Amino acid sequence: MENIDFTDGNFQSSKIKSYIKISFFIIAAIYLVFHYFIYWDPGENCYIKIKPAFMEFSNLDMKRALHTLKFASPEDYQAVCKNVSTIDPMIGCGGFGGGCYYTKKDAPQSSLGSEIMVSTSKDDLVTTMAVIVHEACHAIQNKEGRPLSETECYQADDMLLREIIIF
Amino acid sequence: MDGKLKKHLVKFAVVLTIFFIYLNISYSHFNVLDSCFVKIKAPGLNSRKSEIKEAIKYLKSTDKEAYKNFCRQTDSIIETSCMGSDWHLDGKVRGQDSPGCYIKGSKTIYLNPLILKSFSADKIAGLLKDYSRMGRDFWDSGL
Repeated sequence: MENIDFTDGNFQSSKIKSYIKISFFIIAAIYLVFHYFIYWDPGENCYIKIKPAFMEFSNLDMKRALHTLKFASPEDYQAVCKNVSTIDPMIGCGGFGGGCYYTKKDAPQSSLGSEIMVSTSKDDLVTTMAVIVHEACHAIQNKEGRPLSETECYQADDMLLREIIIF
Repeated sequence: MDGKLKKHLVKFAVVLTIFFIYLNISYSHFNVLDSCFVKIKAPGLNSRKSEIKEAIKYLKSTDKEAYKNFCRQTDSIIETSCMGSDWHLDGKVRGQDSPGCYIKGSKTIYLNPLILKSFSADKIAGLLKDYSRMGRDFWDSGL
């Protein structure tokens, strides 16, 4: 058996170095997860997970849309925060540039009742905001046990667009 | 890790960083002295990036106050048409023929590249001035 002298300076410093390296990677990983996959607004009690998706490339546009919604239309923002737990940026039934909402009945996974799909293209802030509000409207309809009406939700995103865009 | 491989990886990372910095600067108006950094994003194929950059320069040289406000109130310009309503309801989109718009709650200006095609630098500068004034009005008084 090999004898290790724990008082040896080199051994101690290499141990410290490896601790620093591991801590750095853990901190970097936590930062990246928070930065790209979690929208958190403690002041408004708003916590939304954003799943990774190849089509969206960066989830920062989604976070930017939520942040803009907070100031542009506080009522819509609160409704989104209250009724949406997860945003999936993958293409769903709404296709590219749209959104989608599955009820628990359609796809019986546990979180789907408050999960919306938003597959807007990168760099389109307004469409992203409108689709988030539209799909959140479906999540509310589902939560209240009402049928999913497209007209009601088109009206919700139409109202938002008329409110936030100035020519 | 092999020393040679490590050296190559570092070189690759440096080249990649320089490339990204170049891309960021070429797709933006960047002026350290004026603390002005505005990204110009073109999601579609049509782009009037150089005309927009020229218009920003024109604004800077002709109206210092408006340029200052533009830098303060704008962090990105998106080159696409404005979607001021949902077409699903009546088949029409409000503001689609508008040269641009301001998005409340943001520091974003939309400019329609198809309409800008026929615009001169001073006319685009006028739009930038107007939309950044709308931004200031929103953040100052919620209008």
